[in-house]
Formats: sequence, C-alpha cells, structure tokens
Amino acid sequence: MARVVDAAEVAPRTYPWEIAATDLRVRAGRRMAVDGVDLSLATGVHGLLGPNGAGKTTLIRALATVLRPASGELDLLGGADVREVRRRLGYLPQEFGFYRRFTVREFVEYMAWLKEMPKVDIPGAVQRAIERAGLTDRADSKLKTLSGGMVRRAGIAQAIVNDPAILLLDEPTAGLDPAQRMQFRQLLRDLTEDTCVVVSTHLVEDVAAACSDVILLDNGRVVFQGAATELAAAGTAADAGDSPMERGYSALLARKGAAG
Amino acid sequence: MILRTELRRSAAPVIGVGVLLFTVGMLYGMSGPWWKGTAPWHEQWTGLAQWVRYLGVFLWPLLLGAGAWHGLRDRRAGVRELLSSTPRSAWRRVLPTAGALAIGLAGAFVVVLVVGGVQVALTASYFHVKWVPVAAVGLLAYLGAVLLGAGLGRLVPSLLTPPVLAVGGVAVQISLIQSGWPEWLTPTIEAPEITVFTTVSVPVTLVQALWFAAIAATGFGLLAANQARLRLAALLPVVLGLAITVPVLSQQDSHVADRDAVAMVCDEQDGRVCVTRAHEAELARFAGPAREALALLAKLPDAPTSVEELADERPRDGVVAVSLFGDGVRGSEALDDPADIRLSVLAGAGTPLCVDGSEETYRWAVTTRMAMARTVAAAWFTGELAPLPYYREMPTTEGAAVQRVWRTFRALPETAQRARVAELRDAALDCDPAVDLLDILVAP
Repeated sequence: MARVVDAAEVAPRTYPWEIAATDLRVRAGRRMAVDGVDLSLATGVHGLLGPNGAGKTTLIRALATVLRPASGELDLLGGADVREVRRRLGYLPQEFGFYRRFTVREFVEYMAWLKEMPKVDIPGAVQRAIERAGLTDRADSKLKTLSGGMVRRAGIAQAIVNDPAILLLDEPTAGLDPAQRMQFRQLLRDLTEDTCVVVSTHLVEDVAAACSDVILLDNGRVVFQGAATELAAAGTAADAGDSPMERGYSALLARKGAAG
Repeated sequence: MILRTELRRSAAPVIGVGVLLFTVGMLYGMSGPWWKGTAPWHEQWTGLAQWVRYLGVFLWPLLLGAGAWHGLRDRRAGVRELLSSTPRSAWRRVLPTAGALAIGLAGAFVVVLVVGGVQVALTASYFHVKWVPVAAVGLLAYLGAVLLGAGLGRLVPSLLTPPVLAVGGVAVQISLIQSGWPEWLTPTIEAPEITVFTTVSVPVTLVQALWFAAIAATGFGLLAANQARLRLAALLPVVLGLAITVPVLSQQDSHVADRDAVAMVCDEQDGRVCVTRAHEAELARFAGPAREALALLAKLPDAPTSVEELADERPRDGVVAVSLFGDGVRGSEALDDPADIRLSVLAGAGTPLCVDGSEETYRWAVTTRMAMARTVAAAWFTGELAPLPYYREMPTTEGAAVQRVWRTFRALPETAQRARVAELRDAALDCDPAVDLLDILVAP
C-alpha cells in the first residue's frame, strides 16, 4: 500500500549507533541490576543472553525509557529527546499486558495512536503489523479469546506497528510453539534492514537462529559481545551444553565466575 | 477512532446501560413518590428533572464505585509498563476514555428524559425550560462521580476500592445531612422539596454546576496523574470548589417559588374557581365540584366567594384554598372523584390544613383531632358524615370517636352549630397550632 513518506524518514541517519550506552547503571528496586554497561548497537538483531537475574529485563526497560538510569550515559537514536525516541520505539515487555475486551486490531490501533502515528497512516500500518505477526485471521477477535501464543504475537504486532527504529523484545518466544518460533525468527530476519532489534532471551538456540550478534550479560555487566559464531567458538567439548552455542555460553559464564 | 473503541470496550457502555436500566426500572418498577404529589415525573417538566435527580441518592454512590472499577483497568490489564514507553501524554490518553464515559452517561440520561418527556409533553399544560439546567446539573454530577471514582481507583488500585467507594458515598450522603453541611453538595434532591410550584434557584444550580465540574476535573486529574506532585495538583479543583460552594450553598434557599407555575388560571362564571397554571389541565374537572361545594359554604356568615388551588401561600380573604394533590400531611395523590373534590373544599369549613412544619403538626394525636374536627365541619355542610380523602384508612377507633363527636355536635342547637363552625373556620385560617379545633366544635 502506498503511503506518504515524510522527510524525517528518508533523511540520512546522523548517528552511528541506534543505542549507545556508556557506564550505564540502572536500579531495579534497591539493587543495581545493571551495573556499568557499555554498549553500542546499530541496526541488526542483537541477542541479549544471560542467566535469570543477570539484569536483562532491567536493561531492556531502561532502553524502553521506562526506567531512568541511575548514572552513566544512554543515547538512543543519537540523543533524540524522549518523546521522539518513544515515537520510534517498539517494546514488548516480558509481561505483556493488554485490555482483554479490545480486539487485536483495536489494541494495535490504540498503541499506534499512543505512539503518535499520523492518523491517516494508522489503519494501513495496523493491518500490515497484524499480517506480519501472523494474526490476520484473528484480527477482529477479542484479545481475551486468544491463546497464549497468539497473545504474544499480538504483542509483537503492537511493537512493530510504527516501523520502529529500535525494537525491544523481552522474552518474545515464551509461550510460542516450535512452528510459531520459526515464524518469529523469520519475522526478525525481515526486520533487520533498518531496525535495531534487541531480543532478550534465555533460550540460546533462539539467538543462534536469528541474531547477528550476541550480548552476554551476567550480574549486571556485559561479559561478552560479539558475533554468534564467536560465542560458539568460545566453548570446548568440556563445557556444559548440547550445542556449540550452549557450550560457549557456559564457558563464558564460568570463565567470568572464575575471574570474579 | 480511539473514542469509538473506548465507547465499545471500556466501562462506558456498561455504565450507560446500567444507569438507564436502573433509572427506568426504579421509575416504572416501583410506586415511589415520583408518581405522586404536584409534580409527577411523567406529568410535569419540573417533576421529570427533579425526580431523576432524586434517584441520584442511590445512583451517585454506585457510579463512584463503577468509576473506580474502570480506574482499575490499567492495573488489571497490566498495561502500565507498555503505556509508560509511549510518547502520548497521560492526560491526552485519558481524554477519549473520559469522553466515552461522558457520552455513555449522557446517552442514558437523554433516553430517560425522552421517555419521561414524551409522556410529559402529552399531558403537561405548563411548559418551561427552567428544568433543563436542573437536569443538566444531574448529568454533570454523575460524570463527576464516575471520573472521581476512576481517579481514586487509579490512585488506590485495589479490588476493595470500588465497593468501599460505593459504601463510602452512601455514608458521605448521610453524614452530610446529619452534620449540617449543605446537602446540596450531593446531586440529590429530596422528595419533600419537589413540587411544581417551586424551582431550584438559579444560584444553587450554578454553584452546583461549578462544584460537580470541579469534582470531574479532580477525577480526571487523578486518572491522568502519574506523579505525586500532579496528584496533589489534581486535588486543587475540589478544594477550591469546596471553599466556594460551601459558604454559598449554606446561605441559599435551594428552592424558590416558580412564579409562572403558581399564576392562577380561573373559570370566572358563577363563582370563581382557579387552579395554578401548572395544573391548568385540571381546571375543567375541578371547577364543577368546587362550585357545588362553594354553594354549600354559603351557609356561613361572611361566606367565601371563590375557590383556588392551594399553591405556596396561605389563602386570601374570601378564597377557599384547596390542595389538589394531598393535604401536606397525609396524601399526595391527585384528587380524582368529584365527591372527593367537594369534600376537600368543605374540609374544615373551607380551610387548608394548618401545617407549620413543626414536629407538633405531625404527631398522631394532633393529626387525628384535627382530622376529626375538619371531617365534622365538612359534614355539617353536606348533612352526612363521610371520611375526608386521604383519611379513609384511619383506624376504626377514630371512626367510632368521630361518630361520637358528630352526634354530640348535632345535638347542639342549629345556631350554635353555625357559630361554632364559623369560629372553627376563623381559627383554622389563623393557623395557630396551640388552638384545638375539636374543642371549638364540641367543648361544653
């Protein structure tokens, strides 16, 4: 469908990184859950790996402008102001909440409106997002009638409705069956061209299948950042795990533990 | 687009339909005071607006609770995390929701007014627009209650909030009345105050509108606020509203005479008979029996020459003032039967019941003695003892007592009878509660 493209969309980017964090510290309650993170992320799919409690969700919430950093620097989209960042942000929280009585289309529409999309673009964008999330045939069902997997996909649809420059997905594959997960990975691959996607997961195989690079977080710090192949290379046959990626994951965490 | 979604999916349609069903259900389902008195809800514009407001006594606490239920929605759905990552400001986000609630309430209100209004339009002879702002203030009050409930639900997102607010609303209503605060801080209009002869005073309506708008503003503010500072600021309208409304409402008479409604419409031929303009349609029915009674009253020395419907003032000389809709103590239903109209004119030898609003007037013994005297006085004109309208269900002991009084009175010489009835008439017109009318008739 043809749509009006405004100048801002086709203007050349003036910043090297969509996400640039320097010595970032973010509290979760009293605990400093993100404790000195340096990150520079451009377009592409970045897998955020780490054990439970490593600070993945806190980091994502800070990137989503929900949490204010305690210290350090966080520049999103080259230091754009919060409102501009939020317009160009897609976010699927770990616990995706929704109005149960809304239909999928109504909810995605609502989120598009909250993201201050131009009114004329909304119906087309909503339809496109629902199609990409694979919910076309349930678009007019109420959210409360959907299964867990379909709700997840509705969550993805609302996150991508504004063609975000930064897309933050916190555990997006939780509750999806294998077929849906494959579909989801395909969706991620389609997005990468002009989007900086950060996918938090504790499923190493998701990262292996869909991510161009990997950030491994432990105890609020980045212990590894590099290509997925580098992660796999870090492991040896002696490390725990059923795949090269898993063995790399275990090896890096163990090495970090030994060093600390 | 978002407004349409909220209209369909938020609490707005439930609240709208709820208000409609409750109001229409109460009005039709019960034989409440709204069917009676001088301003029944289906016969007078004044009554339509004010009886709908009367039902607010039940409705606004419920709406407070319903609003709170809506206010819990974001918490229930767990969407706060997602919403706080979006650029649109909170007040702008809440606006379509508030709009949907307002439309839902207004829709219900309009349907109720149309249902009543069609009936009123078919019967009422007295048309005016003073009722419109009175009804509109009711709508504003309901919107205020829903938004305040929603704001408080958002502030204290607990499942207990809606029921606590609903019960709390009732408690506030009761304690306002008991503690001497102006009861007009609530939207309710009390039943005894609703007559077609009065209207809610314009200053009271204006101040109430201001007050309920302030409540709505605070509710909206609380619903939109996401910082302690903003929540505090949201309380400002209610605090300011209280500071302005309490002194003003404490000094104002809430109801003032409706001059247009009490203007007399008369049938002048052969004995003047008048009704208020509000009851112009009753004149044809009323004139005949009233004129017959007037002829009977001619037995009196200095006999009255005209009959008027009793509105809000004591009768003038030579005029028999008759209440067509109850006597202010017992009945409140319209007089229908010609014999009843005749008896009402003759009661107490052509005097209205002396009600000075004191407790004394309403004491059973006092009421009974007064009723017996008025009954016997009427019987003197007709020659036959018959219970007055509204007093038919008086216990038989009083019935036997009244028979005794009647026999004692009849045993008096004819001239003494006439003198005593004339004396009773004068005393009743003076309306001194210390004077016992029954003693005048039969005391030795």
